[in-house]
Amino acid sequence: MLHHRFAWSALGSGLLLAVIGCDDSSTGAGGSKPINVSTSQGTGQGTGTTTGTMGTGSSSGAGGSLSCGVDGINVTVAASRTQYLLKGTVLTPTGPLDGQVLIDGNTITCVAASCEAMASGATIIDTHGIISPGLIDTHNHILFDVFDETDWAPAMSYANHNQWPNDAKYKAMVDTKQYLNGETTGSPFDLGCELDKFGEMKALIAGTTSVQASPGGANKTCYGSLTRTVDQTSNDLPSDKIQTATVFPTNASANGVCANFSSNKTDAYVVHIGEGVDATSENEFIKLGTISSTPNCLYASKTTIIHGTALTDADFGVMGTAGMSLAWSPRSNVFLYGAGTDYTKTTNIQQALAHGINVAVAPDWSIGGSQNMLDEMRYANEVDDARFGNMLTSQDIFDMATSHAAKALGLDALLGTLEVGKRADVVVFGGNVAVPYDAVLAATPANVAAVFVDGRLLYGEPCLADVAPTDAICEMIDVCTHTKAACIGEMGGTATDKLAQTYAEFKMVLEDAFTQYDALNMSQWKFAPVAPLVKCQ
Amino acid sequence: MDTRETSLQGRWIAARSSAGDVVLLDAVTGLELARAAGAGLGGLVDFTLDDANSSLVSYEENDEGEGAELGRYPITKTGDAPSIGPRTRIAWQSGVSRVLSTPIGLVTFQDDQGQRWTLAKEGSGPFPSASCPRPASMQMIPTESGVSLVGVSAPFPTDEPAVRFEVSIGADGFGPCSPTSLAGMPSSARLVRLANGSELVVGVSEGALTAARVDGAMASPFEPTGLSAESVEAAAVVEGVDDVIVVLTSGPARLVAFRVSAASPVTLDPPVHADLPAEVRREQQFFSRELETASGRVFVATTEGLVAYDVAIDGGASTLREATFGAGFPNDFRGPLVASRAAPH
Repeated sequence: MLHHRFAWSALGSGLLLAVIGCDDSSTGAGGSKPINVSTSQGTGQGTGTTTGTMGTGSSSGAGGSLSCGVDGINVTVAASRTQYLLKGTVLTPTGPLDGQVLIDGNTITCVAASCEAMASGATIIDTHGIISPGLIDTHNHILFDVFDETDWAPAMSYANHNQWPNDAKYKAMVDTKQYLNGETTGSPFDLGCELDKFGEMKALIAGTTSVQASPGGANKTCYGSLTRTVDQTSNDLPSDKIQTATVFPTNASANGVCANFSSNKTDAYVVHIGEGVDATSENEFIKLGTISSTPNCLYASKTTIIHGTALTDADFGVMGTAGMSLAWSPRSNVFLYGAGTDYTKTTNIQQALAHGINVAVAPDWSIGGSQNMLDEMRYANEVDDARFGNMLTSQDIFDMATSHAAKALGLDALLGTLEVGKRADVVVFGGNVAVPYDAVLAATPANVAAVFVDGRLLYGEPCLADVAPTDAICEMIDVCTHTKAACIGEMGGTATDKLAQTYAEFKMVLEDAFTQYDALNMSQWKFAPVAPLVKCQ
Repeated sequence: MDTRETSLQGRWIAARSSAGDVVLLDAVTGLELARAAGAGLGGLVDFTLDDANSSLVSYEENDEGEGAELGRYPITKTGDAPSIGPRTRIAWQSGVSRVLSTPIGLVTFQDDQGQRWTLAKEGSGPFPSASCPRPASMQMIPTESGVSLVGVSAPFPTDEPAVRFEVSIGADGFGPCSPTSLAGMPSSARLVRLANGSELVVGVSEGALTAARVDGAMASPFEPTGLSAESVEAAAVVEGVDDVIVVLTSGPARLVAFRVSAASPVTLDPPVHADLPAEVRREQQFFSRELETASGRVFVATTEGLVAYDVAIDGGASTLREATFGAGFPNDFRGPLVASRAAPH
């Protein structure tokens, strides 16, 4: 029994190899890398044992079992596609646990050494891996993730964020994004969904389940259909109480934020401040305290400073006293302000942490090196080793990408840790379970074995396609020579909401649009093809 | 009815109701003539009117200021009265912006991943954007090939002085934007260009309203005005009274009028002013549309409604007289303000 439409696509090349239509009776997926699947009697519901190869129509009905993936995920198939019991090394708030996590609907209902007593009827996934809360990206400009540093790189080391946007090639790149996003009057395109989904997909395959994406506030239904675009209303959470700002607030907007703090309309104000390495940048933080009519009301525990690169020890003192958070994007900082090599041109995290500031780590965008949270976590580790004398443990950096990130976005009651009652944003990483935080820090998208967002199994090892939600449209993709199942399309989606799109489909739409835009010869530069979804090292 | 009101006959002011609707008001009486629903996004609004008075382009931000929708309201004339049709969506715009209709096309001044100007014209383009600063004021000057926009930047939030820009716009799009610094530029500076081509900047220096003549790369201040001000929000030459400029200040909210000479170099008479009955919105990122002029009348949007003043020259000096605009009508109108164009003679 299979309810999914399968497609096969090759990442990076943009080549669609095959698309197989809806089929509710076979595991139809084809490709160049056959995946061995065995089905056997499961937890008392089995129907026999067969073996086969995905794409050849083998059965994997309820009660069967499957295995696949680098670390040998074993799946005991049940009828339920909303209840999953995960077994493995669980990264709990108090540390690793050889145990289990039960997902029921969109909620985590058990985290314990054993949850089996509550899991009757659940699909069981023995991960042999590390079960982690989904990574949370607190700072991204997701519509720009179709670009990377081959599209634009700094011509010099800049002093502040007012300088590099004047670069002619950068401007041409922004023109491209605006045209594709339909922000230009007369543009035939309206590809906000495709642009956003591409960024969400980039995040998803790296174990990221929420992105503070700043897509511009258009609040499209398609935003958040894969990874949560968490600062939009379509984030599958009770509300969007995140207010973002890519520019410095005026007196009026600052007063509005302060009023929203008081009325609890805003739980997190996530604002770019102090990006750069000069006095102009640092003055932004000082001015943040005076821009509102009520002085210092933005120096608040609900404010998260993005970048803060130019902040001094005294500034961090103010932040610490107020209980503010910081979103740290070291790769982007060093790329723009340190010629890609000078680690002193990023935020002084040592000072920030000394003042007790809640620090999250996030990639900013794909332009500059980090393609995803895993890349950025590794880069943060590099900076820590080289500049701060290895003061951060692997777990510290993991926390910056999970629980600290959730707190920075005002979402710590819902996301960021594996705890009963929280939303089921769960990731399984392969790797050495004996050193699980090190393993996550070392992980690449090839090691991401399963991703659940709001309890929905969206991505993972290929055999997981068999146990994806019943309305999912699955496709097989190649991630650095590893076959993965992406079950991101939703049956019932329409041409308007675009929820039925597969990765192959929206990637092709974007590639065509880039090619058409380049043909307009708007500048001396070309921006096709779309940047790779992942860079294999 | 005096001669001024005769010249205002048939003209109207586009404004916004406190509930967010777009309204057209009779420029003489303040009576509401037409109304259409706004986008209801809850944020800041900007308007610009095309040359033929046939449509109003709106920019309406969401309540978090993360982006805005551009829309168009058709305006038609039935008899003497204008009517306004329902809004149609043009496009979504990320970040913060303002709009200006020019004979070449719609210019959008943006701040999102950098400060840029874009140009859109139905049936042609797209055009490359221009890296150019956010304008704190600008005036449109007709040229042989199109128009030129002259003004000064809004350096907010930095404490750097504003810079002057002059950008041509033609059928091929934007000409180069090469901002130039002016020594002695006051803070919150706004530039006005007189009919004879002379330029003045008005701003605040040491807590007082100041005006200066642009002399090459210098802003040469006139005598101190003695009027306190925290910032200048807008400044304009009064349409129909070309030798008077008006300035809208905040801290306190005040309308100030200067008479200027036609001589070169230009001279400035001592100002007259009127204290406004309510506060005015502070505009730090862009130009303000809380001040508008038409046929010698000056319209100001305060936080508690619209007021109007008539500007005149009396005994060689400028005068400000509060007009009876809106008297007797519920005044729940707010900025931005845009006046319909005068009918061609």
